[in-house]
Order: sequence, then structure tokens, then C-alpha cells
Amino acid sequence: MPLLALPLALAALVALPALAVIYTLRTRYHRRTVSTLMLWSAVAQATGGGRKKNRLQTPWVLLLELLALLLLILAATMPRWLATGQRAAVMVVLDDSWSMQALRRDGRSAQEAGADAVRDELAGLGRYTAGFVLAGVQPVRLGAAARNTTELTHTLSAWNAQSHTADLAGAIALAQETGGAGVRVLVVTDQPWGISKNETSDATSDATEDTTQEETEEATANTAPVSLPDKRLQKELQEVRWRSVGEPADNAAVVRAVRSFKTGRDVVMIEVSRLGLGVSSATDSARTAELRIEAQHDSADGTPPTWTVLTRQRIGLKPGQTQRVWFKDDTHAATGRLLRIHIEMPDDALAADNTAWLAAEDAAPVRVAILLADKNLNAAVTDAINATGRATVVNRADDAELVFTSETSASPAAPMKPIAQPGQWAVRFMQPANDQNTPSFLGPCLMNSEHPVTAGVSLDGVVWSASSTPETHDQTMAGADAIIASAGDVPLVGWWGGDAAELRINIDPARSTLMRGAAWPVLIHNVVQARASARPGVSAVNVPPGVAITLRAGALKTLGQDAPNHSADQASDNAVEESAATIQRIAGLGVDTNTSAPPFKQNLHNATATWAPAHSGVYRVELPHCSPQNVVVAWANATESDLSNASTGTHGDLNANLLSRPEYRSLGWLLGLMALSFLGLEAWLLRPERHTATPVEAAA
Amino acid sequence: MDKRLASAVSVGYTRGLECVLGRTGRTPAGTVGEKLGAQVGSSIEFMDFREYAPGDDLRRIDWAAYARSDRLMVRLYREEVTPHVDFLIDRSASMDLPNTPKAQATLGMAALLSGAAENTRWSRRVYALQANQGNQTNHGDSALAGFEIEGGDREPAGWAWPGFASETAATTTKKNTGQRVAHTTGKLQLKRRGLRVVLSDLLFEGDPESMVSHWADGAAGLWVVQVLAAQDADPRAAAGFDGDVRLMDAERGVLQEVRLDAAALRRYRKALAAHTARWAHALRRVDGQLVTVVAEELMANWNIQTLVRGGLLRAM
Repeated sequence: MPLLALPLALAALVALPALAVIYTLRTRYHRRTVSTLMLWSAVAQATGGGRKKNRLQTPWVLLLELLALLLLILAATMPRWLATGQRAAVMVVLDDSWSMQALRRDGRSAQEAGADAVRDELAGLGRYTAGFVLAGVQPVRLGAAARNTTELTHTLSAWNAQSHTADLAGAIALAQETGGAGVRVLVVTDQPWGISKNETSDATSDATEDTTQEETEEATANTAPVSLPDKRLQKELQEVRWRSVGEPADNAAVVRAVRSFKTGRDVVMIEVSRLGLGVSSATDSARTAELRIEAQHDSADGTPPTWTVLTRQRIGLKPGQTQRVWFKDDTHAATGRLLRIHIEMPDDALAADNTAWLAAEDAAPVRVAILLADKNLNAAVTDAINATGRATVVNRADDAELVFTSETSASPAAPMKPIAQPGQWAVRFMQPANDQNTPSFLGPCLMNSEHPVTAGVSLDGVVWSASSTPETHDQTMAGADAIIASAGDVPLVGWWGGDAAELRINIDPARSTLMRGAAWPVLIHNVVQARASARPGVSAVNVPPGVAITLRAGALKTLGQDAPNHSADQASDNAVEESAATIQRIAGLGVDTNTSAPPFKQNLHNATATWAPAHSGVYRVELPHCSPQNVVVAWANATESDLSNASTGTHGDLNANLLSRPEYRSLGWLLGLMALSFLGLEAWLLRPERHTATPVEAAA
Repeated sequence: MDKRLASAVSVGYTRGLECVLGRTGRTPAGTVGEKLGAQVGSSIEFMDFREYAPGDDLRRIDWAAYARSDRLMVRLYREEVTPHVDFLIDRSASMDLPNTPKAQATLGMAALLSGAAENTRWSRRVYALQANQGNQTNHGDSALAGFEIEGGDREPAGWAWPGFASETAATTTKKNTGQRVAHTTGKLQLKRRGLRVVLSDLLFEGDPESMVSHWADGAAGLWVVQVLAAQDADPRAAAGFDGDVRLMDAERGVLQEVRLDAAALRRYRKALAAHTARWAHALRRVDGQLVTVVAEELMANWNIQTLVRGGLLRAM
């Protein structure tokens, strides 16, 4: 089928009915009353050779003119035919986000409708070569180029639509870059033309919320994030064929799930939303959804794990409403177990966002030894340690993971050396001598806010008294990896990293207000948190895709926290031999929970590695000398769950700039010749002698 | 009679009082009357002598002449007659052609001739050619049928004119009342030896010979005044007779689609001329006369020169 390079010329088709109207008006008889028809009968017969002939002549001429006009219009549209042996090249961008799994009113998912749309669009091109780009978190190529229906079906079968977002702009750019200049780009998504998806929410951040809030509360109303037109995307879309295959639909989703282990129990905060504004008014009333929290129980005999329902409650949800639910595991039934949160609502269009997973954090508190002679300082540290909820105070320094001390070196002139043992952290307060006159600083203080110890710490208003002599500096801060805080040229806090990290604080507690301000518990909490994160194992167990986590193998000496099934000596030997972590995706999320993958190795450098999981799922991480840990990689994206912006429609044309495509041949000349032929035939039919030399007229 | 027709009748009658009817080939005569006839009668007006023949009234023998010439001579006197004219008005629908003054011209002409007859002291009678098939006026054989107009012997203002066929529906009620309907219907009972004047457009099919002979039967003279509308006489001058035209027969309602151009109109005029010529030929066979008037021209200035030249009228 030929393609039209200038389809706007079809607007001239209005000339066809206009011509017909002209003929109709021209051939319409106006009525006149005469005294008798007797004298007119001969006139009528002589004029046209009879009534029947008159009726036939005009339609034939009209038909010829209509045909000629139609052909001229078609010629003006510059129809072009795909040349023999040529194929139309097209890049297909597929929205790989999970919102494409939403069901439409016709019972098909947007993804299925999108696959049909791809088939239709490519079929319209005739012969084609189609490459595919998946628009997920990052755009990636999908399979090989398809040249026929079989290959197309095979390629589309690999389209899973499981990403938490779709980088359509990046995918289009990749498609245009891959396909070369002038390549056709077909975008199949559930979003309207020019709307990109914004990543507006994350769900698996660390939880610090106050657990004293009510069990269930209404968080916000109408908080569904709104997709905004992306100007950059619209600029790139000028020559892109856009097929929107989604439909607004009612959808309940777990948009946020946070788990923390505080005060010896698991606390889970869940936000569920009913998204899909703009659906019919029949759904505007509140609906009841069931929220279910389950804990996984591993089986010892290798059978699939079982799930125990911890709580089940019904929640009323209005359109656009978000409800927040707290779950506090007072029975410790969830401690150390994988949690699954599931919400069910009737007529829910999208199932992929109904389930959230949460892995258990390391529940063991950080063992802290407080070896401070200063009673006031000792009390301040103890209070701050207790306030963290994540540490416990031990008496023996060699049994502690974190030691607070004010011990200094024997020789005042010699530089101090870190006192922490391998696997142990120390916080050393560099208190000046009692007779030393130390200046007090009110600021401004320079602070490295990127350091995990200083996160959230503000020294505004804090009076910091510290030794300011250069000798002291040389003695106390020489060799530090980083000066975290300073008052002018006076270093206040220094950091020595490594397996035996040490934080030195140059402070005179008696003359400082740091311990009495808000910065103190934050600072101590950060230290405890940093120490906990530096434990062997994974640094975080609930992360969104793409976020790097640190993998640490067990230390040579675990300082009282022996890894299970490993003695300290065995760990020492194996730490040298085992230099890789074993990671396996044991389950998928969303609708493909059974998806698993073979394990792979992640090499460790200095018993440490950084791993950024790209795909969502539940991963099992095995590190040398550590217990296996589950890591949930998931992203609850309210934008994807919000189906109110989904739409159905088309924009753009795959055959734009058809004139510049060398694989097409023009058919305009042929149509023009045919039009001229018809016009010539009409001229022959209407030649003057044909109407002046009829026998009847001659006889008259 | 509607106003337009009444006005035409009034004007025509007034115009006719300025004229007299012309002489006819034979004297229209009645049995008695106050006009001298062309034949021998019993008036006191001497006409001629002739020799006696058996059967002549002995009272007419001129004995003085017998004494002088010894021959029996009979004195002949002119007869006394009452001249009569019958007006036959075609009341078919074509005589009331829409958008033309054809009806006014027809009745006005009848009134004019009636005025002239009054002025000439001729008796007169008005007949309407009958429409006898429903509301449709059909010529042909039925054209010979008719009815006498009530009051047709009086001034035209007193005619109980039922209207042309196109107005038949409107006058049905009047017909049904029986008050203003003609006395007779069916075959015309025309006065013998009277002058007969037919006012028609003659635009109907049929044999002119038979129709004319019927009209002329027993008549002292026959005049046919052909009243045509301008579009009948020459469609070129009328609007709308160009291009594709759907013609409708005013009498039968039949449609015919024609494409008109100069050649077609020329053929029409030829056909009309031939048709009129056939009527003129038929009239000549019975010593009748044909005069054609165009309604629009007559109504414009009541010019009767055509009738004067034809001899039907004479100016006083």
C-alpha cells in the first residue's frame, strides 16, 4: 500500500462533493408551466436524443471529472511506494514500566494493547526492519531487529514491563542514536504524548519515624504525583510516532513501606493509596481494601518457604486518598524474617504495585564500651547511646564494637596513634589539661556534611571549647584521614578510617555546650549508625534499584560477634581464601514472584565490595564468614501506580518526511498521467461536433 | 370573478363600445328584427325586381310594371333581421396560464367584442367551452361541449363567469349551489346564421378541420381569436426558458424535461407556426378568420389594430 508524503493534500477531497454539487445544481431543472407540451415534445427529442440519453451523459462526464480530480488530489499527496527489496527502518520504544500491566476496560493489559499497536503500526509499513528499545530505569536494547511477524512476536515476548519507571526521553534518544539520522521512532506507552514519568517517591529508605503515632492515620489527600510535560521530551518528539495505549483506571497500591528495628521490635510503616483520579464517577465513593502483612518462614527440607499472616485489616480508601498504617511487632513474629505487605481491592486495575517486600535489618545492637573518666561526659555519652536504641553498653573494651575513651598517649609530645583494634571503632575525646586555657568558639565552624558522622548535625549556637595550640594539633590530629569539623584553623573533629576507625574530638566538655544541645544525640547516633553499617554483611537490606550497597565480609577477628558456624581462626583463614560474595535473585517482585536467577559472584576488595542491583527482586547475599542475608530491591513509585494520566491516542506520523526517504518511489507521475487520460476522454466526449451533428437535429 | 378579471372585463367592454363589429360574408339574421338583412325579406325596404314565379306571393306583384311591360314582375324587399353573435370562450387551464395575463386578455377581449356587439345592436350570447373531466380541462372532442354563461346576453359585468379550469376547484361550491351555473351543458346549441367568435389559444391536440366545421355549422361567420401569452408566442422573450427546464403542462400536469437553447426555441416557434397554420387553413375552408393576439401586448394598451385589420371590428 502506498504511503502519502503530503497527506494534507487530501483536504482537497472536499472538491469532489463540491463538483457533485455543482453538477447537481447545474443539471437541476427549473420548472416552467406552459400551455401545452404538444409543441415541446419535438424540441426535447431533438436536443438530447431522448430522455434516457440525457440522463446517462451527465453521470459519465461527472464520473470522469470526479475520477480525474481524485487522481490529481492523490497525485498531490505525493504517494510513495516502498521500492522492491527495500525495508522501512523503524525503532520501537517500549514503555517497560509496570503501569503497562494495568488492565483496560476491554480486559487486555496496556502491554498487550501496546504489542498489538506495534504490530499494526509495523504492518502499515509493509516491509520493515524494527529495532526495539526498552524504556525502563535505563534505556536498553531489546533483542535483535525484527523483520517479520514471527520475529516480532518473539521480540515482544521479552517485554516484561516490570520497571518502576520509564525513561522515555532517554529511550527515544537511544533509539534515534541507534537507528541513525531520520529513523522512524515508534513509542508505545500508556502516557499521553509529551508526558514523561517523574520519579517522585521512594519507599525503602531507612525508617526514623516516631512510632508513637497512631496505628492508622490518613496521611494526605490527593497526593498522587502529577506528571508534567517534559519540554526536552517534547522537543525530541517532533518526528516520533506516539501510541498511547493506556486507560485511566482505579488502582490501589502500596506506595511506601518502611521497616525498622527499634527498641527490640520491628516497626513497619506502610502507606497505601488509591490512585486513578479521573475515572468514572461511579468509583468516586470509598472502597474497602484489605491489607495483609505476612512473614516468611524458611523450610528446612528445601521446600518453598511458607508465609504466616501477621495482621490483616480493612481500610477504606477514597479516590486519591493515602492511608498510613503502622505495624509494631510486639510478638517478635517478624524478627529476622522477610515481610510481605499485600493490599487487595475489588476491580483493581494494576496488580504489580499491590505487594511490597521488606527484608529484616540486622537486629543486633552495637556493643559500646564507655571508658570516660569525666563523669559528666560519661553521662552525656551514655544517655546519647541509650537514646539511639541501637546500641548496648558493655563493660569490657575488648568486647565492644565501639569504644568511647579519653585516653591519650603516654608522651605528650608524641603523636597519638589510633587505639582501636581491627574491627573495632573508637571515639576519643581529646580533653585539654585542666590548667590549660582553651578558647571557646561560637562559630563559624566548618564541617564536612558529606561524612556520615556529621549527617544532620548543626553546630549553630554551640559553644565549642578546644585546645588551639599548634602542638596540640600536631599531636592529636596528625595523620587524620579527614578533618570533619574545624573552627578556623583549629581542628575540632578528626577521622581515621579503615577497619579500626577512630574519631577524635578536640573538646573541653566542661566549657562546651555541645553535650547539652541537639547536635549531641545526632552526632552519637550517627557514630553508632556508621559503626553498625560497617559490620560484616550488607549495608542496607531494603534498597531501590540502582542504589549501591556495601558488602563486607567477616573480619579476621570478630571481637565477640562470631559468625555462625565459623570460629575466629577459621574466619581468619577463610578471609584470605574467600574473596567473593555470592548473590542470587531468589524471587521477583510484583506479578513474577517466582522469577529466580542463577547465583553470581561479586569480587571483594579488602573484604569489601559495592553492589548496585539494577533489577528489583529479593536477593540472597552470602558473604564470607557472615550469615546469608536477604536484600529486597524494590521501588514503590506512586507515579507508576497513578493511572489517572493514562490515555489512549496517537500522535505523530511514522511516515513524516517521506519525501526524503530513498527507499520509497514516487507514484505521483502515474496518477497524473491517469488523470490526464480521464480528462482527455472527457474532452472527447464533450467535443462540439458530438452535440451539433446529431441525426435528429439534422432532421429537425 | 376576481378583481383582475373584472377589471379587464370592465376596461375591455368600455373599449368595445368605441367600436362596431365588422361585416361578415353572410348577413347574420334572425327571423325578425330591426336590421336589414342581406336576403329577401318582408321589410318595406325595396331591393329588386324579378319575374314572377309560381308560388310567389301575389301581393308582391308589381301591377304597374305588368302594365308597362306586360310581364309579371315581383317586387322584392329586403329582409329585417336581428344579427346575433355567439362568443365561445375557451375556459381551459391553459387560458389562465400562471404568471401571464392570458385570462385577463381573454375575458377582456370577450368583453370588448361584447361591447362592440352592443354598440352594433347585435344580440349576443356567451358560452364557455366545457371542462367535463373532473377539474381537468381536456380539449379534443370534449372541447365541443360547453355551457352557456348565465347573463351572457347582457353586459359582461353581469356574466356569471365560473372561472377558468384552473379555478374550477374554487368555484365548485358555487357550482354545487346551482345558482350561477350554466343553463346547459353538453353539445353547444348555437344560434343559426349567427356570427360566432371563438376565443382560445388553440394549443391543444385535435383535428382543426372537424372542430372548425362544427363551430361554423349554420353560422353566418366564424372568427377565431387566438389569445396567446408572450411565452406561448415566443419563449425567447420569457424568463426561464433557457438551459435545462422541466416543463409542466398547465392542463394535465404532465412534466417533460428539455434542454433549451436557441435552436430548440427556434424549433418551438416553427412548430407553433405550423400549428397555427393548420388552424388558419381549416378556417379558410369554412370562410372563417383567424386573428392572433398576444395577451401581454393587448393588456399593455388595448391595441385592437390586429382585429381591425382582420375585419372583425371597425372603429366608429
